[in-house]
Amino acid sequence: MLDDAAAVRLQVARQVAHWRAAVVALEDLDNFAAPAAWHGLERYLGTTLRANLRQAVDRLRRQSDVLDAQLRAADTAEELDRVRRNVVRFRARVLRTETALDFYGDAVNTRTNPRLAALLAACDVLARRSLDVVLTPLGQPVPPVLTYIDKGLGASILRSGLRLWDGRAISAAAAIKITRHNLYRPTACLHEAGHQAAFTLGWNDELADAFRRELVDAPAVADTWAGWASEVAADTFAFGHVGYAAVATLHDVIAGERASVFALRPMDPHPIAYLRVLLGTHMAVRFYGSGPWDDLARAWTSAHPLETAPMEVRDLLAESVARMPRIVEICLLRPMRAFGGRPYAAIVDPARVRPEALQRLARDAGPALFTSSHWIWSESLRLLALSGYRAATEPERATEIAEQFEHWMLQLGRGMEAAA
Amino acid sequence: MTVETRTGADVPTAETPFTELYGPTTVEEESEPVAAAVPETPFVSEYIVGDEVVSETAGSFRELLSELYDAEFDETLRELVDETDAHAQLLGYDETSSDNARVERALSQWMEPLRMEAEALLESMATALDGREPRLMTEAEVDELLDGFEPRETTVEPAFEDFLKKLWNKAKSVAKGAVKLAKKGIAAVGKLLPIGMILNKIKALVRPLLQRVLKIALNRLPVALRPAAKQLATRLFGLKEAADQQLEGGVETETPASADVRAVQDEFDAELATLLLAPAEPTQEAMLAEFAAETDRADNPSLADLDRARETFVARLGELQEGEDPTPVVEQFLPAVLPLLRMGMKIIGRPKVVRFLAKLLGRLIAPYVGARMTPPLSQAIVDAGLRLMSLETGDEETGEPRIAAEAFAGLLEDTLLAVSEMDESELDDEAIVEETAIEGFHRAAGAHFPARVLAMGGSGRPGTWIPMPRRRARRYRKYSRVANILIRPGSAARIRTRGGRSLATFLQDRVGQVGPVRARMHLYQAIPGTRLGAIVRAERGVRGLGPTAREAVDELHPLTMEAATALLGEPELGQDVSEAFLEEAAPAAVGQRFYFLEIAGGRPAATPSPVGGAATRPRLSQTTAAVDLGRKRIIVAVYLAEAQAQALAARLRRREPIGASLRTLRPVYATAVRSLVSPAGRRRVRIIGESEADPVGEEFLAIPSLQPPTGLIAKVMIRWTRRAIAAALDRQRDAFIAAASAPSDGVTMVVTVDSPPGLVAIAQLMRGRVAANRSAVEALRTLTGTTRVPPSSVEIVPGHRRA
Repeated sequence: MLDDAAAVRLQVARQVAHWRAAVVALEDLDNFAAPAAWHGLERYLGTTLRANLRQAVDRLRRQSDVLDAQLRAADTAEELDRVRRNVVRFRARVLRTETALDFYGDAVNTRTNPRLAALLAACDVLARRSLDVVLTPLGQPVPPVLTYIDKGLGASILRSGLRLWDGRAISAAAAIKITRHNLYRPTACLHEAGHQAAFTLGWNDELADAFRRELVDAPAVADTWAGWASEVAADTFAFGHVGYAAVATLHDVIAGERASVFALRPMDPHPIAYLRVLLGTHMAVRFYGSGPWDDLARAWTSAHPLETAPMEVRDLLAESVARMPRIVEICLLRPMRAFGGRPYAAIVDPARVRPEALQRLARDAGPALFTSSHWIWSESLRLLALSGYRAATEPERATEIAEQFEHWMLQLGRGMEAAA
Repeated sequence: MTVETRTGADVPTAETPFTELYGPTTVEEESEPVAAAVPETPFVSEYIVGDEVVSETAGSFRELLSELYDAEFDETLRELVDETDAHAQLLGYDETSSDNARVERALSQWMEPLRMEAEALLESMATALDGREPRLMTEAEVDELLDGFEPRETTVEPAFEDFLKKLWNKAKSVAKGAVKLAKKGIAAVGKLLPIGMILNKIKALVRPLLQRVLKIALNRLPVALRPAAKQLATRLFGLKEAADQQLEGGVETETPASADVRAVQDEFDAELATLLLAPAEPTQEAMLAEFAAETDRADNPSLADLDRARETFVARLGELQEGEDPTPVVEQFLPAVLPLLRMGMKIIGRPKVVRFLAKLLGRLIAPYVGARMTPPLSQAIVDAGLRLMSLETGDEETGEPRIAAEAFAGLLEDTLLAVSEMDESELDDEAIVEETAIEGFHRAAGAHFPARVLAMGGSGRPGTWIPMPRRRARRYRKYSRVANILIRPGSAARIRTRGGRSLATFLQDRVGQVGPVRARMHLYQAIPGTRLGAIVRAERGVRGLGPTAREAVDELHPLTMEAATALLGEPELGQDVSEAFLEEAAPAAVGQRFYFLEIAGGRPAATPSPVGGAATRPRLSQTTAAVDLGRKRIIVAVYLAEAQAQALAARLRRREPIGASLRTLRPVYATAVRSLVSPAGRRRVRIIGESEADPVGEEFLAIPSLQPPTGLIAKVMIRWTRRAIAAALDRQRDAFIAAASAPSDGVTMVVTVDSPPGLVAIAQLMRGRVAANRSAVEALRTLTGTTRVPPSSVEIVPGHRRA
């Protein structure tokens, strides 16, 4: 029989060996996503992501080496006990790193077939280009974007620059979830990209301050909108890039029963759905004059009359609606430090995606608009705006529009894969 | 509800020069792109070579070469070389190792499926044409019979399949060439073999062809390969071929850094043409055997020798003690560098000069050797950017002494390069050699060491040129600093890049942007052994370059002084080279510098094939020309890349003034037409039917006192092209719009100018020769003054077409 120290050593040694082996299993990233799925990523994105994840695993490997050395150096029961506790800590780290690998692996793995891979690659391009337009002139680096598909109603983002689950590695790519139902209207990925931009530029805090400062005549309204600043910034970002398409898509996602339309959830950064839709329509009115958004706003307010809103939010709603033009001004036209002292609309001009401009684009480019690699590459964001606008205003041609949309998105995505 | 909107009414207007995204910006006036200054091109010698057609077959031979030439075959061969190189790296080939034979065997084995497929392809094509008399066939029949053999969805790798396709195309051209010759009824026809038999014979050329590719990839083909086939043709057909088509033997003072891949096609074509025209079968057999033997014989270990010598130099320099004389180390190193430089062999032939140089250079570096000096020098190089580069590539670099020793090796190599460019007669004068060497040494010191370690900053800059790749034999240099630049459209229009394009055209073609472009600018320099494809594949951490970025070769732009001034504000970072090194698939010149633009906003899009095949990078705009002496006309084919074509179609749909469209088109064709009459453009020009129009026996001599009329001819040709395009945009608007809407990428405007004045002289000029007599030159000169505009027509076709 072993003495106590030897018995402890045996148990600890086995665990160290076990977790060292576990780290080895993490090293092969093909264990987390199929090689074909990795291959479906644009090369730079794939390289960045894999390097990022390898870095996390490398760190684990170095830590496991330390653990091994500690075990070999441990003589006394006390030292062995310290190693045992370190093993437990290390195990937690392995599991956290595995969570990160699993997350990215699952995301990459959603590119299950060439068609989906191409559509998601196209979404990567759209999100990245939207960031590029804003960040590059401001001298900020544009992170790679990985979009993935998942169930649910709303999109989400794991921003680039955040600490991953292991608490050490920094995510090198922004991961944006796109919901299955919105794959054909992926304006939501621009809203998510907006979160990335706002975070990078410090727009959220500045916008919150602007609300507090400029809505001083209604302190409750100012405070509430300040709390919503991050979501409002993301909505503003998407509106600038694709105009009314973003508003209509948002409406379809958040439209619901009265209770949800008027719901004010504590700590929720999203504006009350009722106001969020009206913010979008007011932006359209401010930049484009009258148009189909007037009908949307009318339908929205008549389906959800203010007087049916719960008493506790009714004042907030009414006061917000009354100040909506000012709120729109703050969002889009107020100079911000985040944008080098210029307003957001000077960086991303919503007029480029007003319906007349989109029609002019379609007229100028002719039938080549949806087939030419040139237009698809250089005008991808405006194509999204155009497709979204048509889908919103011509529901009777929904199938045709969806087919056309799929065609150019596939071409955009396949082009990126080929460039891989 | 109506609310006043911010923007004005939506009326059709000519496109504003102001960017929509970035707000008002300074817009520079468009001015004519200025040709790169090429001070070292001694135009006089460019015209001293002449040619003389002494037989009808000779004319047919030239015409056949022109028919057989396929620009895309150059590209395919280049890709195949790069693939072979990549495979050699996989095999662990280091070029300095002694296992050359093993790697060569392994590579031959790897290529074996390609050889077999290629031979099988030729055999089946031959069978299809079995017994067919060229005289009794039409070109359409050839197409019909052979089209079904196009290699598709083969099991070989993509680069191999691409090669097979081009070979299929080439074999078809041979068959059509035979038909054409037969129709002409020239003397050779009587001896012309049935086409099937000819195609069967071509099989024997496949192995030597692939062997050449392999040797280029392994850097073992001499930079100047003896053009055996051309020499044979000269013998057989009494053709006095001027050596102006190849870089070697031409007028350039620079040394090509690697073998010219284009020469492989030239030789192959000469072999094919000779097969068709060779008078008797025994001659053909002997010739085929000679070609195979020639390739086997060609073996040049100089680069491997240099690699070894460089290693030895670095090691021995590092071992030297303070105060010890480095001359013996230098003396041992120099003879390994010289064979790779153009005039190097001439210097080697003068041991006195070599000894003198070794002593001089030894003296110059002596104060910096030893354990006290080299570590700080190494550290300075690491601090000047090497560390940052290493971080990006994942390598660790420390200030170890060998970094400084390697910089000294580079310094000596560059100094020798400067000396090797001297005129041979000056080598006898020690004072002049000394001056050149000291001057070269000082300039090179500024390139290899950062300013802070040079006396009074010297001519040094913050960065240094680092030999790359770091883990293998050095094959190029990279500047240790990456510049963040903003390229304004005005300056981009003035910067010439390769293939007769301006940088503005390139940016619009590839990135689809017309406004200011932000980019990270990476700088590279060629050394002996540099192939641009190898730079592209070896780079790490640069978005757009790397092992899989096969097609990025044409994104390495020549860093001329003009480009360095406009983009970096530092003319000295640029390096001017002869025109011939600015052509698309030309090898790099030793010392030539390049830049790659890492453009923010993602990679350029690839173009998925309309028929669902593999996607490729969009083709760049290109202008080619053909001078048809028989039909007395000049054809200029202006291919507008997809981005240009769509932008133009949009303008035409908007019914913008024609002048606005012409203005945007001009940079595309004007720069290109100008390059067509220079040595850089030779491969984009075809001369057809010269046998009938070439003045037999006309004398060609040097005309030292006359200015070359290339600028004038370019001006006239631009004028003709512009008028034709202007008329076409006006009258054939719908045809252009329809062509732009077609699935093919881009649109070609094929301009035909009928009976232009000075046709023969223009043809001669485009071939790099000019008639000696003063009156011919004067005749060309008068062209600019002439008011007669020859009749012209324009055909507008979807996709790419060469003239």
